[in-house]
Amino acid sequence: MDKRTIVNHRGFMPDHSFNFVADIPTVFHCHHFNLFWDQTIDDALGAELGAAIRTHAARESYYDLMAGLAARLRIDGTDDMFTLAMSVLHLGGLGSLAIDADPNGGEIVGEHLHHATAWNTKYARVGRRHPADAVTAGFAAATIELAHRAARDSVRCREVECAAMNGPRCVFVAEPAEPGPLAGPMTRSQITSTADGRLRGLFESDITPILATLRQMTSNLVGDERGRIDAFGLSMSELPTTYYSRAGYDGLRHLSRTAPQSIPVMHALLREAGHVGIFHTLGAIMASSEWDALVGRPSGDPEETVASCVAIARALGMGHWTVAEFEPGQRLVLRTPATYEAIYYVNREGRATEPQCFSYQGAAVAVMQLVARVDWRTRPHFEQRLYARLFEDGSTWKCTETQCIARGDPYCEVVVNRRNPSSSFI
Amino acid sequence: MRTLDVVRMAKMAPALQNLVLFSMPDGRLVEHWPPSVGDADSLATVVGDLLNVADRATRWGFQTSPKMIAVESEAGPLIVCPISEDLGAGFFFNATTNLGLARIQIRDMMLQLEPLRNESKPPAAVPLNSPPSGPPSVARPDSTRPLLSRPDSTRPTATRSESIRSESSRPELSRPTAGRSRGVMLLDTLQRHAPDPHICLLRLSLRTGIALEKLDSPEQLTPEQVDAIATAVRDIIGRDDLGA
Repeated sequence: MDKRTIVNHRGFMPDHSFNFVADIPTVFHCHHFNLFWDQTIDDALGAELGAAIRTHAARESYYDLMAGLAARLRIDGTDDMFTLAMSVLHLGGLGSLAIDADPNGGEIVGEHLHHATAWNTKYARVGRRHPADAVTAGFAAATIELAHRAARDSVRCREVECAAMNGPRCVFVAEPAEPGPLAGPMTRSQITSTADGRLRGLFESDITPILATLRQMTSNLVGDERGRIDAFGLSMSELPTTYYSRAGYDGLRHLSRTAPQSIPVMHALLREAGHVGIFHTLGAIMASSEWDALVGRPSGDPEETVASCVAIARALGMGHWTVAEFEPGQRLVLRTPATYEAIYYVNREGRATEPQCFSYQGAAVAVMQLVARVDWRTRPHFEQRLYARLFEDGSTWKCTETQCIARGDPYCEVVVNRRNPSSSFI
Repeated sequence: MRTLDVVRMAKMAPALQNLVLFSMPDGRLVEHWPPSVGDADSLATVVGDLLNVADRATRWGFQTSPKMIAVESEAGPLIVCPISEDLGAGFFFNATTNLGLARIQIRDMMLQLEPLRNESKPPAAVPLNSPPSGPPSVARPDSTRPLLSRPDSTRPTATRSESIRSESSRPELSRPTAGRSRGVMLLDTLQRHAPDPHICLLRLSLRTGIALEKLDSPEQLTPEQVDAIATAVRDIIGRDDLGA
């Protein structure tokens, strides 16, 4: 199937700056974010339960996405469904699969899978002890269910060999599962009914033209012949936002029952996922030759840098970030009508007593780091060593989410202030 | 922090072409000689990588740390040595230098580095956001400066005659020593080898359920807590052998 067939079903909501594929919200994240988000859930729950929760979240979100696409494209047969699924996998930068399975069982072999490849790229010298591709396992299960018109959640897939564990390839086994209760929908409708998208902030006259230019690029960002999106020195992916939110909040809920004293630690690590992901993604894009060609080489001017960060975040579908306040080197207030985290929380988890946008909190700090601590005049190289140097003197920023729609506030807002260096990340 | 007189050090070794000092385990540049070395940051990184890999190999094979790594090439020998837990050095000698002579000259230079063996932290790094007159701390190399790490048509290129030897030393870190509890040693191992060391204690706390405050005093942990930490450290760094 021509990828353009699916690209034509990508959408964008300008007021909320969310991306969609067939009305299912999606977002572009880099491998740094993906690895750290998944790792945090596994650290909290253990590898087996963590993988199970993440696989379940992926299965649900990809089932909805592919079912929506199949309905729009009027795809009905088993073979056509498999073809559609492989195109979706490629489009999202997740790699390639060969599926030899039905609802009664079988084997799936993966190549160039995003998470396994990301691990080998980023942590080459760290031995991995558990499979990395729970997202792909969930994707495969959803594909088998749809292709064979089986009941939702009636197929389970788990990874039994993984290229991130020094294996030559990634292998999954499919087996029947008992369907569980279904969660409510998470589509464009939930977004528009949850949050009012009309927010403007500082530097909009700078942000708007950059966003328009970047949208032309991101709307056509698709996997290559291997099913990988390698761009800006990063391995990018487009995943349903429900995957991240469901895996994260299911993990937090489980931890609140088994080890509630560790909840602040998990919050801090989910925040770090946002921090490492946004720092690398936004930084690598701004340091790229593509950016030079499309926007112009960064000058290092703080206002220009923060406007660029906000424009990129919107283009990638992270939400309609706005700059409410900005004092270079000292303070940043980022405000958005809603994050995808908060949208999910309101619709699935109910009313919170505290703000719930952990990756957004970390992202706000990352923006401040890019503005205040990177010397753009000298063409920075966004790699592990640069990132590690951010912490040589401890953490120099304090972030607080002061408003969150999950708590009933009118928008989601994070305030970042400079502080004396501290070893505390809580 | 003691100031390093690398010029004086280099004069002790007439055959020395380049010297790079780097922090461990991250391979961050601390000092280099001569000043005209093009991409000293990258050089420190790759030499630090060499020491890290050799450290892993000798710990697996011998349960000890390397004392010295020697790489012989047609361009001359490269010797890499750990100076302390947190500092390493790479010495590049000219093509006329044999390994024996290089080791002698290194021994003389190491006397200059002796005080650093007792220091726990390397010299302070250049600020991430350095002023225009300072060295670019996060820059790619300036294209007008010669790059030592890239092939140069005027220099002999490496051939298959390169050999790598590492020599083991008495164990310093991998086994409990008098005064160092197993908990202390495990946390030390974690912080030396974990990916993303700035949050490795958070990960350890999340995995074990042990509060961060308790991890600040590892010598006071219970045996059960230490066992839980050992399991978590093995998983985080991906190794069974912790030497503890």
